[in-house]
Amino acid sequence: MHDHGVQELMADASLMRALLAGLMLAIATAPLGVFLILRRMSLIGDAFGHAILPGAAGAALLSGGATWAISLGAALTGTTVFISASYVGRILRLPEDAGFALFFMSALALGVLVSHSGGPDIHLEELLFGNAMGLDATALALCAIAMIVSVIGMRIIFRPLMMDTLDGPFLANAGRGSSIGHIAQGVFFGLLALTSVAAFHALGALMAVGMTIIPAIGARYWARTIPAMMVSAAVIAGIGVCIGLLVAAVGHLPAGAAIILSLVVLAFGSAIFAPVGSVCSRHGLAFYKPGSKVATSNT
Amino acid sequence: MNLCVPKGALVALLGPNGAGKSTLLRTLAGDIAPATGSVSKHASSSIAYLPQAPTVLRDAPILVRDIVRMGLWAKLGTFGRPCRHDAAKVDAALSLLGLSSLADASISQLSGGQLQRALFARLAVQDCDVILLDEPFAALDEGSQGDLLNVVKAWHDQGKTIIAAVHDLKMAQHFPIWLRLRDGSAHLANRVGLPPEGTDFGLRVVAGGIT
Repeated sequence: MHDHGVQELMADASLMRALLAGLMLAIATAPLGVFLILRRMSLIGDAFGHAILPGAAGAALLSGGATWAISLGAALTGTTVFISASYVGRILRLPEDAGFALFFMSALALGVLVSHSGGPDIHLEELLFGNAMGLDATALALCAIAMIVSVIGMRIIFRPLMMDTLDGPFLANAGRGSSIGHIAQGVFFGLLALTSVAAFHALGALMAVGMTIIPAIGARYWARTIPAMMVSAAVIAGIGVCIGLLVAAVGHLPAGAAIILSLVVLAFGSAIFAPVGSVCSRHGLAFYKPGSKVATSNT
Repeated sequence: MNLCVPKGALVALLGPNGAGKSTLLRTLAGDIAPATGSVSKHASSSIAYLPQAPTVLRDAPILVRDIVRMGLWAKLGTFGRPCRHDAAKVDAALSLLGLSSLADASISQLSGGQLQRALFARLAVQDCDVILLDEPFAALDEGSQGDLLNVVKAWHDQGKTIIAAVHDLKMAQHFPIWLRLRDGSAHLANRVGLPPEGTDFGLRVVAGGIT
């Protein structure tokens, strides 16, 4: 291992860009993951990442690897595959997750085929696993846009989305005649698509949704309300980005994978040690501040 | 089936399993469309509906108070900010149902009976003119049944129209009007068999509205 000083790390422009993008993505994606988890859609959300591959690869082929074109292609196939998966699944009367599995696997395979036929501008490994240390200005701008739109969008749809998630039939009944629940869902999936595409450049098609879902899993053990869970998720995601990038820079490891693994460690750590319903709290082992207002449930 | 429920009536909906009690309530609630016929109500009246099985996500990170607050939706919508009066309404509903001490507990910690109390508190906050309850007393101990029945009676005294599916005849004794469903027809009568009085209707179902 090389001897890296803090100053040397700070002077690494690509690392600083990755850090900035990672922190913006943490704010953009992790709060969305809370709703994916609560709605039992974490695997479907994960599969969405796969769906962006053929468009991203195709656009890279046609444009000679321009970041904006790849983003556009990713967004286009991602949403198309997502919508057609639920539509065709309903027509064929497939169970929802089976329909999604079918379409997302096809998208992934198609993406690999497209990449294989490509020229020198296609880097399959980069498309699959991202290149967090090689982000250009366009990718950074996309992360910033994703963060702003996600925060504002979630602020707007928060209440109907929360009620639709917690008690959909009640919202349908109390909001008589309006399809506000469906509108909120539609906006939510739109935000998910946007943030996934933004995360795609750093984490690749296979891990793009990891930063959305994994922090939310850990956040469940820190929060007793949904807003608190969303904040916890963003904080966990931010910490995971910092740790992951540090490990990657010091150890010369792939940054995307290092970030995802850091998040996984944080999620497991939360599930074991955090104050709300974790393994320790359930067994009365106080690894948290005594006297805190947090209640534990003994089941 | 032709049915006219007088405004302010407290109705027990009776009938064997499969007679269509839940279907009738869901149709009245606007949850499902009638196969034929129509349902009409006073233009100004609002309907609240409590299904038989709770539809709340029980393992979600949410406090009892927040579930009760959901009853403010019709008033606040997406952007409305709750005022002091709304907060007082939520507190009053929590105390009405004996949940004040559990207001800041997670709903995952509630028993089935406590959850039903929270859902009643949400109905109280909704403050609708017509309240439809599908087997609201099923699977509750006698203490909870009595408490919830008293809440229903208090709503009745406030002039609300209430229709509750009930399978326990002992419980039905507390309801002045019975609506019996059998073989696709409905008979509205008070307990001595006379048709109920009242011309001003709260709800009307015409011409085979229910299948």
